[in-house]
Amino acid sequence: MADLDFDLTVALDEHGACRMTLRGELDLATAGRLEQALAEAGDAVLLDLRGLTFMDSTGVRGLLEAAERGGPGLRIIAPPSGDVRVTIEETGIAALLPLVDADGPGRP
Amino acid sequence: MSPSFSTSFDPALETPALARHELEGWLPSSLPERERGVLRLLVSELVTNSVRHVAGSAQKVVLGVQIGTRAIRVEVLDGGRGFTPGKLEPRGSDGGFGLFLVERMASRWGVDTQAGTRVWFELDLPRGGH
Repeated sequence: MADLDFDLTVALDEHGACRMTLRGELDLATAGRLEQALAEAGDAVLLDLRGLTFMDSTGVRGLLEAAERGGPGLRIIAPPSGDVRVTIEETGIAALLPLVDADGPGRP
Repeated sequence: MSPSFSTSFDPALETPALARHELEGWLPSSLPERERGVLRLLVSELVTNSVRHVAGSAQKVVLGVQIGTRAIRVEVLDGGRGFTPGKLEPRGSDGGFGLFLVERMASRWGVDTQAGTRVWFELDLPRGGH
């Protein structure tokens, strides 16, 4: 078996807002775990993708579905460079995602 | 002579990751990270499509890579029924962005459905390398 090196951790703050941190590779093998975690989370979710080392279009589709379903409480932090940023840029989906700066406003 | 590599995989959810990691071991260490990233992504897209085509069957997904001096050629072969690429847009004919990315990032690509489905692409290498 391949070591897929994927990890998804969920932390709740005192207001019940959810911070979901992804690490490793988001693809066909792991996108289902993101989908399940998002389905179980509440409306306010901060999705931190900076620990991802790879994402392909299966991951892109998961993010778009989350953005469509998630409503105004979903925020996504994407890495500034690397494979995941390339995938976001090349697919042209940045405008369709609720992207926020890591340190800026927009925390749920 | 161009070094070439080939491996077959059982179709499973983990197959794209296995294919990407196998590819990594085949690429020359001199290849720049930008090209490595494009190959990694496009191999993942084509293998994902093949896994979806033949899911639940006993058919294998075959990844082949040929390392030329001017370009790297990748082929992904499966026994599933082929398709005719139409105009590719985001969320296009494969229900996602996979072939859209291949069209956008590869130097050339195509589909051969003579026996099973063989999707190939070539990525030109930066000139004046080494």
